[in-house]
Amino acid sequence: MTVASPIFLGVTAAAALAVRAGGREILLLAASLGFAAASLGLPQLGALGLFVLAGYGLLYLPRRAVALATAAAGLVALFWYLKHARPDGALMLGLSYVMFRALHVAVDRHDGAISAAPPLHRYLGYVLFFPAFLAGPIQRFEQFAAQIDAPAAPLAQVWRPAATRLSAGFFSLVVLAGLAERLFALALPVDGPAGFALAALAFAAQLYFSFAGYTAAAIGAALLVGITLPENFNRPYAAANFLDLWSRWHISLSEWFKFYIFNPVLKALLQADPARASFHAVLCFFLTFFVMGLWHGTSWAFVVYGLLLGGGVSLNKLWQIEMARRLGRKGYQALGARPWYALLARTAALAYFILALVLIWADLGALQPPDMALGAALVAGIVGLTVACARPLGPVEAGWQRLAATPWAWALQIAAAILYLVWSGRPVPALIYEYF
Amino acid sequence: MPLSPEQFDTLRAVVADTLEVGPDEIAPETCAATLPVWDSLAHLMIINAIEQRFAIKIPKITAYKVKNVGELADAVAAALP
Repeated sequence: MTVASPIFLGVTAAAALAVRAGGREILLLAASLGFAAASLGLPQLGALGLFVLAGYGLLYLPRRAVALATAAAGLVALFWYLKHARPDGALMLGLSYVMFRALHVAVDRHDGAISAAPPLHRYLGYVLFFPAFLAGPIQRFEQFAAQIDAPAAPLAQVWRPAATRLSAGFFSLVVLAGLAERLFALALPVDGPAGFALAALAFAAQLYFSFAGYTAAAIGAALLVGITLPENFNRPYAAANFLDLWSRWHISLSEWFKFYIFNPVLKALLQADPARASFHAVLCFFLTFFVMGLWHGTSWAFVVYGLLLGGGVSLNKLWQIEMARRLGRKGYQALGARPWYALLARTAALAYFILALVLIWADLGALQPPDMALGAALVAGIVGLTVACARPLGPVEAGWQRLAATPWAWALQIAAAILYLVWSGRPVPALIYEYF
Repeated sequence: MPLSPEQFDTLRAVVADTLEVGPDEIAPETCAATLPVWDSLAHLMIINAIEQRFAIKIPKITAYKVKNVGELADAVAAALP
């Protein structure tokens, strides 16, 4: 399923028109149930229903930490089974994001941040909200509830920003990700370092353009039905370092892991042993990102991917601690402001991420280590050169953002997306995050 | 009820101490974006130090969500008996 499909657009258009006549919450729930039903086969739909009800059951547990921890572990185990171990091997689209929402509501209810278990129809409307069903963003429950309780903004007020996000989203998802996908397919069979480097860069580009495009379209569709979803991307290619990348890429997922893994574990460790704060922080960064990597899949490649993510953020944190100790806070800040250092740090962060992603697509057994090493150096060189050359492009980017909000840009982007689909004769490129 | 000026000064001193900066660098609008040393580790160290100093327990999710010193002061005020 994709957001650039007649079903998604049809559900969005019908919901946008219907919700303003009243009964928005129930109509949105009906739209979300309809979209989930259209995205999944009957057995998967039954499994999803079971999973959602199990998540709702978590809200009625006795408010004891042991009960919550046991039930949450049970829900994660059920997720694992349904997602990765079902005998029929069928895809369970959207299940990850339903789980993140369900655990968030359960923990917050237990903590008292959500004062009472919401009624079932509101809970269903939240965890299955159709624009964010396939791959987020993961909105917080209190934000969703507050917006559902308030009257929907009139269409006259939201259709322009919605059109801007939808058209830019479709252009990115169809054309930019489509071109990157073709480049990837061309580079993949090419032996040697150049083929490896080109495939690595093209895969990262496809991942970004498809996921950021999907997210923009999801945000645009949600606007039309009167819900403002959180942003999920903030120019990740401009990250100052590897830690900063995670406040810019898949932001709502990073926030979720920060709230429900990093913070509680680190807070407990700091209380138990405040003298070794830096050590605990490095450890928690590793743990959090290792688990985040593992969430993507069960194979050994994803275990290594988790180790690479965890290792990357821990090394980045260790480096920050060590540099601040050696140079002092002001000295380290001054170093960070030097152009050569900023260029090196940005290049290292992006190249490391692009190369970690290799684990998702490559058949590692078929790759020659010297080709990989040379290819990795080539990726770092190309990224560094791009980062260096992109510095003066800030005004161009700002200009494009202004242009993108005009009807001309909407029409051009939609026309380009349609022409691309007709010309290429291929379906809309896969949204890889949908399958995680 | 909001914090009294004395209580806010105590809060400011705890935040400044934890971040190892002068108390004059801490204002209600001070946050991670305005003070780079306020990272995710420092955030939790501040919460722990404040809970200890005021002998309170800030609900976890509130503690994670506070974005600046002003919001932190509100969270402390809400948690005080």
